[in-house]
Amino acid sequence: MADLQYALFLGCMIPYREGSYEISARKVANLLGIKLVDMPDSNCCGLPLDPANHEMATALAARDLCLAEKMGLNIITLCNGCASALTKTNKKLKEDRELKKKVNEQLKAIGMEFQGKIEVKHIAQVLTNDIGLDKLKSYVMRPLTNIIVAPYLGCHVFRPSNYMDVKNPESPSLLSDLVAVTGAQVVEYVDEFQCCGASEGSIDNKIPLILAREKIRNAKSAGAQIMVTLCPACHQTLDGNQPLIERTFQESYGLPVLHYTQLLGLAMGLSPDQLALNELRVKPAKFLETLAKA
Amino acid sequence: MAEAQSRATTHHYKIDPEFKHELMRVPGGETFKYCYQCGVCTATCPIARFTEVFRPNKIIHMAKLGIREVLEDDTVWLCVVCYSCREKCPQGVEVADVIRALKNMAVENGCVPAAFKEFADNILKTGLAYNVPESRIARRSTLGLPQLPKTNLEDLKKLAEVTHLRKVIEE
Repeated sequence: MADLQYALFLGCMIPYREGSYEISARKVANLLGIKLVDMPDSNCCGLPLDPANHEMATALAARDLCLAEKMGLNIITLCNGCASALTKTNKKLKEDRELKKKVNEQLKAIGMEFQGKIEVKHIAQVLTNDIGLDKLKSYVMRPLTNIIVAPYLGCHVFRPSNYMDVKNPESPSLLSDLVAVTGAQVVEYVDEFQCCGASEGSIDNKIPLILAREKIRNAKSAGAQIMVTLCPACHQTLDGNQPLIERTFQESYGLPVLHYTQLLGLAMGLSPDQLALNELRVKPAKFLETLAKA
Repeated sequence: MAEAQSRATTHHYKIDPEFKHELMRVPGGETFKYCYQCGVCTATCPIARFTEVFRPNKIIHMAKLGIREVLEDDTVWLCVVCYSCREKCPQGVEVADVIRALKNMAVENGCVPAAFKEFADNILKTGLAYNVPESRIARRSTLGLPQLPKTNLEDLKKLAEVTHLRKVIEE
């Protein structure tokens, strides 16, 4: 197995609102022998600024890539958005000489140079490709066999598919395979590969909520006891905004949404407290009861 | 209703033949020329499903015709950048990137939704797009988490200068 050491790119959303993702990811990584080296001088991946100024977004991503190159480590991200922004910029700069020249001209102002020496991976890709599903399964101490999960993959971890390199982009099994490793049952549901509605820059307040509502309702009617996400923005939308969605549409769902690393951690024998499940907005009390009965 | 319809049919757009060339020069805008208006982008778009005002193929058609109003109109900002459109486009049009290029042009023209000013401001002040509250930063050590990155803000200021970010912040 390859050397499991990575530069951890945290991004913005996780320290801002999704601390339980970081806590559970660090715990799980530690048990799996993944060494996470912090990036003390990193900045936003650039994605939030992309719609307003693509050049600055590219420069921000390039700066993070240069920092990881200096560390001599591949980047691991927990966020679909960061994975997408950093992967795309990395690949574009490696492939497009003109662009590389232009960006390096800009990076000269801060004494950096993009060389193209590292790769960027989402934690789901690290678990699937660098560790491997079979090996991952060997860490499962407590299979979650009585749990029914609706995986919500998100967009940017697999689209655009010419950059993100995820198998079968029409119907990707990246997350459902990872959920299956925990022993839980996976349900398919309508529109599961469509956008959750997370978009800070949207000028419309209602449409993002409609998109999130569709996913929650479809997952629920497919029989899911919980949803599982790979991205802090999706999680914020489906879990953090769930009470707002309930109020807006006068409906009640109460569908807990876990970070994948929390689900995996439970299957690996960690306790709900160790994985910060109490920080979820939609309290997973009923789910934990079901789990205890297994 | 009838009045609205007649207004719609008599609306005259100004056509600017230079516009498409401008769009071609903005990174991400290049592929719009391959669009043949099949409408698959709109058929697959989750936003188009829930609002009548957002039609990606219409946005591209307006750009092709040289209708500069596409930049003044708020509809480009409805795109959530999920990339479903580009996955389905039979012509290889990077639809979401074309819309991003139009957004970038709109910003150059002085139209910047508030969220982006805030992101830009936060990034230059803290390195991150969201302003993480002090209480949450302090709580990290009690949770056993390492300190948040301390970005060299001078670096970001310099990058903002060479990429002309002031357009976003000043407008």
